[in-house]
Amino acid sequence: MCGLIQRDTYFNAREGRLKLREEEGSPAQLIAYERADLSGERTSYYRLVDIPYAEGLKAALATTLGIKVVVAKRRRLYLWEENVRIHLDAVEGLGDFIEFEAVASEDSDLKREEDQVRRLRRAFGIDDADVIGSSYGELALEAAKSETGVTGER
Amino acid sequence: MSAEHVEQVNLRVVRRFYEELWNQWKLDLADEILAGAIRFRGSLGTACEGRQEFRHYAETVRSAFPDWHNQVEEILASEDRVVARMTWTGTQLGKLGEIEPTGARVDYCGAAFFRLSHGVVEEAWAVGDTQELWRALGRL
Repeated sequence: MCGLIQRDTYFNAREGRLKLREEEGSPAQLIAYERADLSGERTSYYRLVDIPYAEGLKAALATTLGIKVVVAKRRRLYLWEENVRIHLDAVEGLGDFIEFEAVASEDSDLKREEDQVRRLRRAFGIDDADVIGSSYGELALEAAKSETGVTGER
Repeated sequence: MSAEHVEQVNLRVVRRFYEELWNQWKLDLADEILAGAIRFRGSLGTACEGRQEFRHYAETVRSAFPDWHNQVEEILASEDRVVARMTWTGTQLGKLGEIEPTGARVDYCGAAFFRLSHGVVEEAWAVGDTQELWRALGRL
């Protein structure tokens, strides 16, 4: 038992964000999502597609769109109340992070989910100053530019 | 459909433990979701080992409290553990140990900790506010 080993390959997308998640012991998933780069609670609209042949799709998208950055991490996942995911992430080259994701149905007004995330923030004592608006992909790109060891490629 | 993560499996198993096995008295479900050598401590303080002893314990609770209900107030699952904040309620219409039926309504809270492996419960340990229980049954 050592958590989930995940490797996210971010592609250059014209609209929103696109990444391929490869995870040991699970089928790969293509994740298309849109999310504002704001700190604090924010809504992410996403679509997940299972990919049985990840290498082929990765090669195709790398050729057509180009790879933006690759992020490797070890994730410990905790589920709270079925719909809330608590992630303890050790991200290669970036450090350790905690992330809260409250999954909402399409018809939700998001009040319950926002309240759940606020409760967790209070419980863990996370101040506004501690919240990071950027994704791991963007942090990895910045780190690559600073030559901290994370590689970005096009 | 995506494959379920083990955390999702564990959470679902514990939900079924309470909502089906206990609340609907589907004791046969024990063969599916409890390990053969399960170690169990119930909220009433009784400890048992193995499915047969567990079933005996559940039948004892059922005969004392036919309307026994397990309310999961909050639940958190990880890759090998699940913890639940619980409220247990029931009406004592049958004998509980040496306590004759009182008709008393019991309502007490507690917590339960589970260890799971490969989608079955290996160990379950529940602790309840039994002071409240015994008070309701006139024993405090």
